[in-house]
Amino acid sequence: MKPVYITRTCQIANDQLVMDGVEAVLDYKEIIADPALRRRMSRIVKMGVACGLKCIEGLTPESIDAIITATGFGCLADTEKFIESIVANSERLLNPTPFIQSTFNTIGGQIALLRGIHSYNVTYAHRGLSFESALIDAAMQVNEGKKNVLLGAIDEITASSADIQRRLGMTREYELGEGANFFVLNATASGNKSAAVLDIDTRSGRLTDDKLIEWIVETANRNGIEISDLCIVANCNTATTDNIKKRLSLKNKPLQFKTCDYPTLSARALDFAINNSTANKTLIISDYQHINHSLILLGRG
Amino acid sequence: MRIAVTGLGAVSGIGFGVSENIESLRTGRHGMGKPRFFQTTLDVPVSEVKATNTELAKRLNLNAERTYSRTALLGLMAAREAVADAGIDVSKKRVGFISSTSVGGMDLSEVFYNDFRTDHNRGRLRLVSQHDCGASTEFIANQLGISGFVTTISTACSSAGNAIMLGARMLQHNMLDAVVAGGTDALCKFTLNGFGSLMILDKEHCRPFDATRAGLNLGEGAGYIVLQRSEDAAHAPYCLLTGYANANDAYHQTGCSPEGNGAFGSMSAAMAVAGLQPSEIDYINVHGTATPNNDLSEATAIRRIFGDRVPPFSSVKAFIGHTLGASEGIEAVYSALSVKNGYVYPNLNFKSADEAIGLAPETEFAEGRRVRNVLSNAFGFGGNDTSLVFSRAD
Repeated sequence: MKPVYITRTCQIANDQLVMDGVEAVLDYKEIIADPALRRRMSRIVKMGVACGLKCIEGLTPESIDAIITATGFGCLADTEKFIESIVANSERLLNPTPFIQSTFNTIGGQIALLRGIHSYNVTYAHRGLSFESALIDAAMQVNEGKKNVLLGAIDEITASSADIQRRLGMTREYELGEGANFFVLNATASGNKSAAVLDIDTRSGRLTDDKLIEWIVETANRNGIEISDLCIVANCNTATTDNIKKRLSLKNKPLQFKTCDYPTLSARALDFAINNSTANKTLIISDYQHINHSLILLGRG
Repeated sequence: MRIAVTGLGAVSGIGFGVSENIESLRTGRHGMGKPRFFQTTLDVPVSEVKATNTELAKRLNLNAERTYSRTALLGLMAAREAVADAGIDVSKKRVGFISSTSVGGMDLSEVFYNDFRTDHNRGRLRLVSQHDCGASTEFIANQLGISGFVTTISTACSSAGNAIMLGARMLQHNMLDAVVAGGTDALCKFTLNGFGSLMILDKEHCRPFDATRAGLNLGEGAGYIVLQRSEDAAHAPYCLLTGYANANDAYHQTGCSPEGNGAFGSMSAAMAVAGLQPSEIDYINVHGTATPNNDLSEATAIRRIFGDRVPPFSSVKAFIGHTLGASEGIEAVYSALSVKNGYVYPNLNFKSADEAIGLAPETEFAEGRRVRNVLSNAFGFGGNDTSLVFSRAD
């Protein structure tokens, strides 16, 4: 596959909007003008839709050839709200809004609806590899000749999911996080920070640090890159990062990224890498709950 | 590159396995009845797979003592059949599994929630750990021994069409050598009440395209097809997958546009990918949910493409119900066999034509017809419209 270029980045996390690495004003009223619609939207939907809309600001609907979204858990608050209403109202006279919004493709669908975008629109929901799947699809779309492919990832924390994940032992290493990240992908570079996605690879199941390091070396070799030239963005725990530092001779100190955890955190790591790594070649190493792993190799545009 | 359909697997309210499904379609035996396998107070017909989870686990040679989501069990049953049918070696690295589901392990989560809602320290964790969409996919992939590319698509009722489309594109890009693609969904309170809250469930047996149609019936099941480059096929393929496209209606979050813009877009684009003219389509497996809105919108889109030469078409929803994330998985299996054997499936319960639609579907099972190309539609919430084209391999 030919390299694809990320020409825009947009993030909403911790109630902050960051566009192409620069903080901007987050005003939901301005982005989603219809007050009734805005009120109906749950937090994840509002966050995702607003982030996606900001990312394609100024682009015409006809110029956007695909909308591809990813979410590990989907719209949890809406899902719980609807289940609760089923139980509380004994399956009678239910408000359909939370059911409608609980659908995994709500955010991609709403962006299409609000901007009148009739192109390809697909949503991935596959744990810690949801975003990677979407990125692979987006890269294929660009290689198929599509322009301005909007790619995004969204996950939210709810009180219930936090309690469940704590009970499942999923918060032992990191607290839960949430956020929305969107990107525009094209076949050519534009803008001063545009990065090229050169390679994406994924693995599932436990992975020892030895195996991970082997995999990093393989990936660098396959792409004809000297390991020492890589800047590593570590979306994995610090013990693994330390091991990588010890075992590989790197000119650049790895950038520890992971400080919280959620299934599509690798999308935020990608935004971080594009806007913070100054190296020519950057490798993002992601580990979600030690069950899903990915390597994303970036070059400068 | 020619993409061959080399394996089929299906389970639905009208049968375990592909041949039972076809036999039911042939003899007019539908799967509708009162809900028996999950608790609900809603009095509407549904098409359930006629087995408890324990029975399904036993049929699959799984430890019946363990907890599985019904979505995972149904999916494994259909995917296993498809893999065996194709005779592919799944241990190879470049074999992928692309599954879709709209609710994942919701059937278990809603049981968990009964205890959890009053006390967050209660509720058995094994009932909620399979909640996410990826859980059933990973379970099926592990059971099948597929360790290559595995992912899950969730775009409501068009999900499986999009999974099949992704599989075809990954073969085109030479990222995989074989892929098992389709979808699985179990019935549960959540979806039944969801469609109930939208007031689009018919209390009677649904009647796609009929003047008296008043809504849909839900169903459950799973369907997968195996795709390979035709030169890699171990045996003569059922047919080729020649066209695929997804387009967005961008009209309403749940309803479809009166002009059927999304459906027009996905059907036209899928035929363009296949390089086909409308006159070359010999059968359309329509989405045909039997809601007043869907059938009219879909028919309008069909007229815009085919004019006064609309090919034979029918909806199988009155047999199997709307199986949501599984629908295009199961219906892709039916479509592949339509091409191979010249089958045309009956649209049950059609009696009187709707003047606004002005089209009448096929009502009798037929075989040995000249079916060169089948167009198959799946439309979902979020204006998500997908069309696939299956074509003769010779």
